[in-house]
Formats: sequence, structure tokens, C-alpha cells
Amino acid sequence: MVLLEAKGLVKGFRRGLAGFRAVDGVSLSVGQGEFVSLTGRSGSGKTTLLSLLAGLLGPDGGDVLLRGRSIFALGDAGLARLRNREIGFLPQGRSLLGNLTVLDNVRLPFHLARRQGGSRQRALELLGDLSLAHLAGNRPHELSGGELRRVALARALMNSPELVVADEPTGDLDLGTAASLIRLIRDINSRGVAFLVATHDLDLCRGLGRVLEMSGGRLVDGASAGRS
Amino acid sequence: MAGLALANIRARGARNLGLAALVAIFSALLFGGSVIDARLSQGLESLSARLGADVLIVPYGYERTAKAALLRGEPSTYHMPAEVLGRVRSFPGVAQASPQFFLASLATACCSERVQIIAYDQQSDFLVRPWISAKAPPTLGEGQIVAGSKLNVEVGGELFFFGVVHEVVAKMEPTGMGLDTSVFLPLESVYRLVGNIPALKEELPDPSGYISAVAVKVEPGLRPKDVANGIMREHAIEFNLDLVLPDAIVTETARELAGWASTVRRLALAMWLVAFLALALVFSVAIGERRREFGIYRLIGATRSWLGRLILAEALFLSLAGGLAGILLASLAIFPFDALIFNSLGLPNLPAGPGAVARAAAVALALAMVIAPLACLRTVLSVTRSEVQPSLRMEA
Ligand SMILES: Nc1ncnc2c1ncn2[C@@H]1O[C@H](COP(=O)(O)OP(=O)(O)O)[C@@H](O)[C@H]1O
Ligand SMILES: [Mg+2]
Repeated sequence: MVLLEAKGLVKGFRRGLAGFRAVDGVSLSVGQGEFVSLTGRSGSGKTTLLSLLAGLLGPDGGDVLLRGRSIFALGDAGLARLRNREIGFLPQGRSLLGNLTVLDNVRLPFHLARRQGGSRQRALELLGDLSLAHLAGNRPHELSGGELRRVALARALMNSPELVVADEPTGDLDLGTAASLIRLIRDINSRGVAFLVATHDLDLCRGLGRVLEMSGGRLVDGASAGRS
Repeated sequence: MAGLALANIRARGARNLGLAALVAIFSALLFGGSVIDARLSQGLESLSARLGADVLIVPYGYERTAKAALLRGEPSTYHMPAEVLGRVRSFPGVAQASPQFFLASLATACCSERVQIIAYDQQSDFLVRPWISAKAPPTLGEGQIVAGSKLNVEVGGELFFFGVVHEVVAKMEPTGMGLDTSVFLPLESVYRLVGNIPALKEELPDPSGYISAVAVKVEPGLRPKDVANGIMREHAIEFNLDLVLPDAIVTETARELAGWASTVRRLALAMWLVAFLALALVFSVAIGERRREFGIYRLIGATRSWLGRLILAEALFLSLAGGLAGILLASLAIFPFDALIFNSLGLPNLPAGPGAVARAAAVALALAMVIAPLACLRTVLSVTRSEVQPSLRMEA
């Protein structure tokens, strides 16, 4: 079943006086539990596309449907709820809150959801799964790059989203650390969480699932139709 | 959200401490100024009522002594001929005149220091009686006394002085003045006591021919000062008299202190503005600094209004902490010492009631509480509008 679907997405930016399309008519779909890699050179439009898919940017054309419903019809509260519960995000770079401990960073999405019950147990379990339990009380600045990325992953999973969107999760990691992070992601994927991962480390994702390639804001190889 | 707000405040500890300190200075000034003001007006309000007398006629040279006795209860003994009473009483413009006889006791059982004994005329008295509780017997008999509110003795207790055990039949209500540490008894009793004091007995072989002061109430509409001056013109030289205008003693110092209190309030107002401007500046700088942080909240599911509330909560905590700290510090600075200060300035020394203190604290806290929330309003509005977008671009 299709979880997320993009239809003819267009997003333009200004560069100097001229405008250009960072995303230029992209259609794709991600099925439940699927693993989709998005590759392409730097500047090919990957981050912009992910941002559109997650409702972080408004498109100039086209639409994004989550389970068949347009996400751009949602108001701020609706989009916030979507980001909080339906889609987990792993942004590029460092994205933890420096004022909070690792544990509290992971718990925050739960509290934003105003859910009943305790979040501590679940957060600790997640941290345990990602071999981070011993760092629960630490501050982000005390962690290594790979550890930070795993905490961000735990945070993205906190409210059990069906889809995780990750932007170059291994970009700033050494090869060994990157490989183990990908193993973790595959592990989580095998438990039914769909992944959409932008990366230029194609080797890491080979054999994991479908691979889409971007170039100049478009999907190449006719892959843009995706799998329905 | 509260925990997160506190964590964020702690993360910018030094800066926030400085901001809270500005709020604290404001609330300390306002609270302190208001409490002193309340104490002052409380004292002044009750002053004319409690003092009762418009003019006090005393022997020449004892004006200062009489003031000291009145305000601070400094014990003293002095006399003038009892004849003065009749002259004063019949003077035009005098509505009531009542004699008093002052005696400084030796140290007694109740007190570490000597007390002032004030004998009054039960028929004509209008000074002492109003401050004796209604439960007391209408007239005091031999050996019965009324104790000032601050004397460490209860109704039914006894005080021993000048060879006689006296029964305390009533206590005065607090006056905030020297009367609080004085002992009151009828004129007849004190005249008999004088016989027990060798030194005085020699000086005053017939004590009932002497009094220490005449308390005067002038007729309504007349100025005490005018009537007092008339009495002085007529009798001062013959009887060697002086006068005390009780109201005037206090009002002068009170006016100074009131001026001081209003200066403190103006300062508080200025401080409010300073704190507000500093906070507004810091908040508007912070929104730029924290754009990335705000973006992260949004990315993991915070609505714009949630973000606004978070900033508001941080501001409220800052204001609350500053406001409370200011009130606490002002309390520490004022309450141990204000009685001392008021006493030494010769001001009626009644503590401001708990109601007035609570009101001053509430007003100071309320005004402190709005500083930071108002200062962050622009920031809140800008995040609740569309300025802080979540983003996958966290490279910064
Ligand atoms: N907010 C923006 N304003 C202007 N240009 C942008 C903006 N975001 C991205 N771009 C441009 O769009 C193109 C695609 O960028 P991006 O989506 O980040 O590519 P990728 O993630 O594949 O490196 C780049 O040329 C980039 O400079
Ligand atoms: Mg990118």
C-alpha cells in the first residue's frame, strides 16, 4: 500500500536575478515498510525534495499525499501533528537540543504529542536498542558524531512513525560508523518502518531497496513513476 | 514545557541571571518603597488619634525631654505647679485640659530598663483612656495600673516599683510610640508613691501641688498652634512654660521620609523600564540566535503557538524569579531594621499590617511578572507567525 506519494512536485528558488527549479516535476511514491534511497550529486535537489515531501516547504506546483490525503491542506497544527507522529526526521548535521540531556531529547516528541503516560521507559528502550543507554544522562556536546546521529534516530522513532525521512545520515561519519548506522536503519526497516534516505554513499544502500537518482531537480532513469 | 523552559533558562545562565537581577532590583525598590510608605502612613494615620492631644504644656526646658518620652518612652521626671492646669483650662479656645504627672521608675521586674510612669487624672483624661481595652474597669483603684503594650507583663500580673506591688488590670493597645513602654496609673496613686521616694519627697513635700504636663485639646476649628501661642504669651513667663505640638514633631520627619519613599518609587518605575528594555533587546537578539533551536522544535512536531508559549514560559520564569528574589532581598533589608530606623527618626513606629505588606508584595510581583512577558511579545509574535520554519537544513 502506498504511504507517501508525490505528484509533479516543483520548487523554484531565485539565484541572483534568475529563477531556477531545485525540484522540477518529481513524482514518486513510498510504500509501507519500504526502503527508498535517493541519490544524486550535491546540489541535485535531494534536500529540497525531502523538505517538500515532509511538508517543510510549500511546493510551487504538484502535491504530496500521505495515505492519499494532501498534506498541504493541513494547517500549522495539522502539519505539526504530522511531523510529530507520522513522519520521523533525521536532518542533515547536528539536530539535538544542547540544553537537554540525550534522554530528554528523545522524550520531547512524546511530550509535544501531549500523550498520556510516561515516556521515560520507551525512550530508554529506544536508546538501549541503539546501544545508547549509557549516554542517557549526557549532553549532546559530549557525544561523537555517530552517537549524535543515533540519538536523532531514536528521537525520530519516539512516536512510532510509519516513515522516517533521513537527509544524508552518514554524510559526516567515517566509513565504519556509517556502516553500523546503516545496519541499524536496516534493522528498524525490517520491523516495518518505511525509510526514505538521501545519500551519496550509494554503496551503503546497495541491495537495501529501491534506489532513485536525482539530477538537476529531476529523477533520472524513468524511476520517477516509482512503484505503486 | 516547564522543565524545558527552565533548562533553556539555565543554559543561558549568566545572561538570564543578569536579566532576573534587573527585575529583582525593580521589585525590591517597589516593594521596599511601598512597605516603608505603608508603615509611614499607618503611623501617621493613627498618630493624631493616638496622641489625642493638640498641645502639651510642659515646664520650660523640658520640651525635648517630653518629645523623647512621648515618642520613645525615655523615662524622665519633671514638674511645674499644678496651678497651671486651671489657667490653661480656662484659656479661650481650650476645649479640654488634663494634667499628667511623669515619674521615671527604677528597673522593675518586668523590664530590663527603667520605665516611664505616667499618672493621669481619671476625670479629665482623654489621652490614656481611649487606648485601654473596654474590658478594663472604668476607673483604676489604689495599686491598679495599666501597662503599655510592649511591657512584658499580662493582665492580672504584677509590677513592683517604689516599694509597692501594682496589679496590671489592663494593657494599652499598641500606639507605636513611647506610650507602649510606659505604665499608667491615677494621679492620686502617684502622689502617694512620691512619699516612698526619699529624693522626691524632699523636693516635693506636697506632691499634689505639682504636675508634669497639661494635655490640651483645642476647640474645633482653631489651630493648635495659635491657641498654644496664646497660652504662652499669657502664662509662659509667670510659670516658666514650654510647649510641644505633637503633630509637628512627626510630620516634618514624616514628610521627608514620604519624599524619600516617592523617590524610591520613581526609581522603581525607571528600573521597570530599564528591565523591560534590556529584556526586549535580549529577546529580540535571542530569536536570531535560537532560530536553529526553534527550527528543531518545529521539526519534531511543535506548533507555532507551542513555540510562542515556550518563550512566554521562559519569560514568566525569569520575571517570577526576579520578582520573588527582589521582594525577598528587600524584606531581608527592611524588616530587621525598619523598627530601629523609625524609632531613631522619632517616627510613630507601628509595623505595616500584614495586609499592607501582602498588598505591596502582590503589586511588586504582578508588575515584575509582566516585564519579561511584555518584553518577549514581539519575539512571540514573530515565531507564532511564519518566521520560524522547520527545516531539514541543520548544517549551521
Ligand atoms: N532556500 C534556498 N534558496 C535558494 N536556493 C536554494 C535553497 N535551498 C536549496 N537551494 C538550491 O537548490 C539546489 C538544490 O539544493 P539541495 O536541495 O540542497 O540539493 P542537495 O541536497 O541534493 O545537495 C542547490 O543549487 C541549492 O543551492
Ligand atoms: Mg542536501
